Amino acid sequence: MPELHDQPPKTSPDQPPNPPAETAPREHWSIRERDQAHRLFEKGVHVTAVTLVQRPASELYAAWRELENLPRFIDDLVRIDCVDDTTSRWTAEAAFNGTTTVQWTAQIINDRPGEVLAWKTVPGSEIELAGSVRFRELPHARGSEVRIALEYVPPIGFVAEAIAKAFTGDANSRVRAALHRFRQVMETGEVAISRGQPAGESRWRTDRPGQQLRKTDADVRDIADPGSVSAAAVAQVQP
Amino acid sequence: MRAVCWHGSKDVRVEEVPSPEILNPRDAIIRVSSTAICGSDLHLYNGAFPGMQAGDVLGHEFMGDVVAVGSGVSNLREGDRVVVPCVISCGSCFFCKRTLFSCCDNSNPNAVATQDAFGAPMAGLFGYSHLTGGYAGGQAELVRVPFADFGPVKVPAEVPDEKVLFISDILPTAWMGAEYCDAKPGDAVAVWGCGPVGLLAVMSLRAMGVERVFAIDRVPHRLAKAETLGATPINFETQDVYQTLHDQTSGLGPDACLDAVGMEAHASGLLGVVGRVKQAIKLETDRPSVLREMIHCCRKGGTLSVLGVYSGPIDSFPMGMAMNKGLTIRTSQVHLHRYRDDLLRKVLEGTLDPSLVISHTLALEDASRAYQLFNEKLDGCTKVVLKPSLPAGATPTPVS
Repeated sequence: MPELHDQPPKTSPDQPPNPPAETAPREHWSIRERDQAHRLFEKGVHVTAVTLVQRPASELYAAWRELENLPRFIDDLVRIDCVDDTTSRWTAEAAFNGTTTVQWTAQIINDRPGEVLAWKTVPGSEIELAGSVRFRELPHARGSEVRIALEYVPPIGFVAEAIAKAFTGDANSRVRAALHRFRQVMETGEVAISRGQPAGESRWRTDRPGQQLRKTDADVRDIADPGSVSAAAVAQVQP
Repeated sequence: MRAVCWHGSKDVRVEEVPSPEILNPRDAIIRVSSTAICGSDLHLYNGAFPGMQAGDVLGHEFMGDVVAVGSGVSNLREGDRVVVPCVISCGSCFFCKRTLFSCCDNSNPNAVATQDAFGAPMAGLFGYSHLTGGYAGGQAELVRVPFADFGPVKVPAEVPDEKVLFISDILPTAWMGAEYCDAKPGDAVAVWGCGPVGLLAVMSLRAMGVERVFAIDRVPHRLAKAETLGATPINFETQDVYQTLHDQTSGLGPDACLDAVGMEAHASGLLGVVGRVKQAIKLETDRPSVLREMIHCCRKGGTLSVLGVYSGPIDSFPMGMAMNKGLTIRTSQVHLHRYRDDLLRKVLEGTLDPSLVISHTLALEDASRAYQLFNEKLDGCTKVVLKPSLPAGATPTPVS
């Protein structure tokens, strides 16, 4: 079963194991079943998104495994500093004001090159967070599926959680936007922007400065394998 | 630089705006030599298409000289003369790989917003609302062109702008629509709308060897032009379209019907009035009278080729008629890069001459007047080309 973070299902004394024990592995699981079975946290916000990228899964995995790359795709992240191979220190903009930052330490809890990467905050963190990303090459050269799942529990109890739940829709489109940008960089070597062009102001505009990738040409070179993106990106890395 | 800016319904102004800069490695900056007003620009001009903001630079049909390229563009250099596709395509996504270039996944910075609106992210277009990316358009002295290593096509210096400019949009659009008709020997095709796209569709169908083409409009000078291109004109204000088409096709109806009109169709009769009222009070974004008529007229098992621009849901769509007649509907924004090189070759060989549709050439400074001429079809207006190099107030020069 393509579970969220590849952790064993939770069981509780009052309830039967979820999902119910089965004799043979099932091919198909509903999104709801998948959601319920493998959430790490009882509470909090839970979002998923999926996209298709025209690059090999190994290359996509490699870009994610360099955790320092994530702030370039995920808006709310300011920076990630790797402490060692599995421990990293994350800095993010606080969800509701965007001016203060929150920090946490995460540990990689699952790492299968080319397939999956999952991480979770260490116990005692100010914020509880878990995330995973899976890569799967589809048959018939359709490309590689990238499926991301994020869970987080905001720091101050159920009021904050209620607010956070109300913002789940927003969180969903933020995760989708992150995957969209990831695909853009991996497929084209850059992120499409129209900011900075003469034009009227628009509420449609999602590339407003606060959501810009913190990214330079050099960053693109770092992320995208120069031998594999596009002729343009290749040309760009030649000295 | 000077640019044509949208400020609201029937309000376009030529203004001084900041010049564009290279923002991404695969960008180029083009100095525009010629740009045209597209029929689809009139949907913006009339305030019928959503997602526009006051100050947006209009225009998606343009050509000119490369003045700067980003570090990722190796196939163009300063001084190259290029025609730029109106659709922005990355060349490497799922859709571009399948030559569905106008479905490009990567070219729209506002893709997530359009996914909410349309269920899938839309590709970027130049100067066509923030729904399609908020890119500044080509009715300007300078334009920033993203993915410039993939889109623009180089044209030889000796060919006049007028011959190749329309490879930027309406010629490939018309050609694609003609191809969608999938006409077999003996087939008859009816084209709704004798604006520039309709006229070029007639030209394309004839060039593909389709013997019987009908052209439907109500503007006499446009119908006359369609006739010179080899179509049988039908004026829907004086003739019954259904009766005429059936009479001319042995009672079957045309094998394929092509919509070169779109969301602001003018219909006669009650449905036309109802459509205009609904659109005016925002009950319905689009007036689908051409679609309805095509479904009514088309022969059983025939094909509808829809090039006209639509933006939202439509009412009173006769699905039962379409289903029971077994019709096929084919539609898209133009997959331009698919046809670009082949059409350039045809134009250079002289097989196709899209400059025939031009009726006026004006200064970019006179864009406001140009929009009015084109929108109201005044002075025999069929297609307007704007040139930044012409002085303001230059006399409109009828070309043909």
